[in-house]
Amino acid sequence: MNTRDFTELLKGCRPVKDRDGNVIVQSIMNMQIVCLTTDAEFSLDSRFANPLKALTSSNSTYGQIKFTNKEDKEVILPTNLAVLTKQSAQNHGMVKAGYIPSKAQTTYNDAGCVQGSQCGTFRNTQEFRVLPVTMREMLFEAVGKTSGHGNIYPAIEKLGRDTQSGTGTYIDKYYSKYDKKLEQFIAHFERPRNLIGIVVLVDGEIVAIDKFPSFSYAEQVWDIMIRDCYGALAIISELQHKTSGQEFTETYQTLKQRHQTNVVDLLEKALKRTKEKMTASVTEKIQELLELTFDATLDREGQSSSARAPKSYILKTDGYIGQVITENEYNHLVSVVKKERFNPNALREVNELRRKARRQDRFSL
Amino acid sequence: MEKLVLTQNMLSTVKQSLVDGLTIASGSKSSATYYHSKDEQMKAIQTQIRSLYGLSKELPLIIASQKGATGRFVSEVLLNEFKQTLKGGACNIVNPIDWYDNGLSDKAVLSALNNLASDDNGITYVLRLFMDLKNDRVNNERTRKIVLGFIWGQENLEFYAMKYRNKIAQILKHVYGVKKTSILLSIAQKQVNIHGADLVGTQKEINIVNDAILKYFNGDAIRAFKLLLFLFKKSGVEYGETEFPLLSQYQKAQTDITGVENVPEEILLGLVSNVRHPQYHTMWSTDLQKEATKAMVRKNTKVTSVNQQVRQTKSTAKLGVTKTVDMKKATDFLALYKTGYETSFTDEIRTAIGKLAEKKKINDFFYPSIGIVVDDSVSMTGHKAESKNTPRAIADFTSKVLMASAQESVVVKTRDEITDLAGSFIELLKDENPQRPYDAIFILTDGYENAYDGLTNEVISIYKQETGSQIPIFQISPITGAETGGNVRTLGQGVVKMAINNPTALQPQITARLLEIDTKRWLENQVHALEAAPVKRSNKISVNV
Repeated sequence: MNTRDFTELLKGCRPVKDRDGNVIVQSIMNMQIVCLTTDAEFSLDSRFANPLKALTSSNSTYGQIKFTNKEDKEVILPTNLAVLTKQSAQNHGMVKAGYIPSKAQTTYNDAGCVQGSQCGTFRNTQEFRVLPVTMREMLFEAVGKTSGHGNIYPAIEKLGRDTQSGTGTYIDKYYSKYDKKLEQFIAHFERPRNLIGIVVLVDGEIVAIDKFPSFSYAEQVWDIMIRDCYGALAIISELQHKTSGQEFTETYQTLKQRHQTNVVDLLEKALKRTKEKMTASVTEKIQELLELTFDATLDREGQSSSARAPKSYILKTDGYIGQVITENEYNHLVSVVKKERFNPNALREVNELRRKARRQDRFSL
Repeated sequence: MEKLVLTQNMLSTVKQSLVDGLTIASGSKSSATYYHSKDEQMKAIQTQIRSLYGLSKELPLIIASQKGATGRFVSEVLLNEFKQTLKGGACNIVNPIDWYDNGLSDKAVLSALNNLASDDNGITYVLRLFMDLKNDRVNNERTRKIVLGFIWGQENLEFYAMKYRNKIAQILKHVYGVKKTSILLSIAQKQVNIHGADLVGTQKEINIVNDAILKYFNGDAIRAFKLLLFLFKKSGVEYGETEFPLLSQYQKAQTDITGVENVPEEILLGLVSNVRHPQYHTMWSTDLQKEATKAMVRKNTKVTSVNQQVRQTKSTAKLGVTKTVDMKKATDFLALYKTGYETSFTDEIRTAIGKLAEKKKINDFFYPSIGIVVDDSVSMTGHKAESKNTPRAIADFTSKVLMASAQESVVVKTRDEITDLAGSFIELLKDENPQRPYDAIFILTDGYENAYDGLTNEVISIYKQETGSQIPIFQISPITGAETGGNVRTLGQGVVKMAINNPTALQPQITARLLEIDTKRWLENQVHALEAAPVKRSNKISVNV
């Protein structure tokens, strides 16, 4: 087992900022996203193919998915891809991300069924969805478990409870209930140019981080990630009647008490201050993660055994769990999620203690 | 006209429905948006129309007769009207005596139909509507007479017969029925073979022809018969060059397409791509031949509209054909914009857009000094496949029309990676000329802001509250959302929303806001306008059912 620092996982990335240097924070209800970008040389656009078009999937038994890469380019499989097919077959989902060489096949035996008691296997389908981010923690915990086919059922049942969609062990019930809402959800966020990653926050706390291999890859998976993956967070927020609050109005009223200036100038000041406050809050939250160190365990199941191929590691630390697909210290894909029961305040206390420890002088007389 | 029969109780419901109806009418398109599929959009439009009809049957037709109503909306209104019986539905606004007995109903339908056939929409919309009648098996007496009056009354019927041959034949066959079509074709063949100008036949035959064709057709019987035989692909008819300059060329193209100038490109390619065409093996059997034939046809054809030529700019260049297109003559701003997005915005295209905006400007515009915020974010590029760049083009052109209409204007475009309308709104306020304060502010956006939902509304509310400003702020959306039932996704309460698919709809939309002040007066004016409309079912005879 080795370790990976958070700073190392996202090396080369930086948040997208506006003209004034504020981090651009896009919000809906109590959910926010911050987009990450990088320099063009760190976006491997020509190397990887579009995963949603290059791959077809099949299986021959339950709990297994075989991907065939038709392209001359390699493919990085997005985290928790699912196959929801119209064929008379059991839908399946992945518990992790993966790597598939060009013109090659890869079989993952730690996949799971996502459709209760449906029988049948599927053939050469591209009917892909991505499983909701709220399932990610439980799915990563199941990586490498190849016995049986029920790796994903507990996560679906939990999703059904969280989203009041009565899924049981049928993920399609969740999609059927919320697909229309999820489709509209795409419109609430805009993909900036040169996107390489996304940080998702709920109630001001970071709940998920994704880093993609290239700008074009990010563009290819943007819609499906927003709709299928992060959309569940907004659904849950809506069910809990969460709102975004009126941050601007509050800031304006505070400023008004202190400044005697014309309305338009005050509006401008208030907007600037609102953005600064949002930036400060997000920066602070990201700052807290910088001290994280993950234990990294090599994930062999289904992944290429070639010495030169990218390697998959499962990352674990107290409050977070994730995966990295890496090659010669270059991280192609990073996918991290906060553990639901984890209270970030605990991490804050640990960090504070560490900082104090660093400030202390060594014992001497 | 008698007084309106609208009751005070209904007035508030009618008022809200009218405002919503006008918004949907000028913004509704059947095509998909960035967020909604075509089916969802269509369902939303149909639901709105049914609800308007349920309130009072005149409402949808009054709205469909307004300038700027989209082709899809008018089509759906007419389809809904034709599906109902003449006396179906309740008249709660106009006195039923005026509506039924004094012919207002007819005038409303015909005004909407004329609106559909106008330049902003076009004959293709009308033919699509008539095909929908066939698909929905609607063929009552009123519908039949209106369809026949429209088709046979077309001045340019020879061209339409050539261009939309199959469609018109299917419509006529549906309207006449199989048996009557067969009788008419048999009479036509007989008459054409006689070579006489006068009708020769039994009284019964003459009555049928009079009733089915001549009542609606402006021309002699032989010309009508020849057109009918052409539509139904009956052979053995000769089309002289002087009498039928277009169909004679079509006949020539059936054996040789070279040198044919007056037959549309798609028809010529359709002819030569048929394996039985004599030139198929020399002009269409290989990819190389196809490209050469396409280039030759593109070069020769002279009946392509300027708008179509503008749209073809990219493919014309790809075919290696040099063709001078006078962009300034284009009347379709979308064609200019889409060509610009596809190729590049040359000086010529920019000038043409500017000229067109000037041409479409609203005379005596209500607001001399205006501020405009244009949302230039990613979502404004429209749906990837079905309407790429359409919302962006509509917003940009609308801003140009507004600028041309006002005496003074300031425009601010959103700049950063996200839709920051609040920031742009404040920037606009800062750029206001104190000597000429804004009389109105227009925000051209799809309504999806990302900084955070509702931020713009907060800024506008505080601005109005703190300054006591009563300035009207209009949110103009180039798309309507299925999630809002075909209506506009609103930015907030202090903003008047409206959907614009074409700047032609701007003035009626703004005027329509005035209906909120005196709804009854507005309705009266519309009904008077319908009464005065110079429309009738046929160019020859006004027919009462």
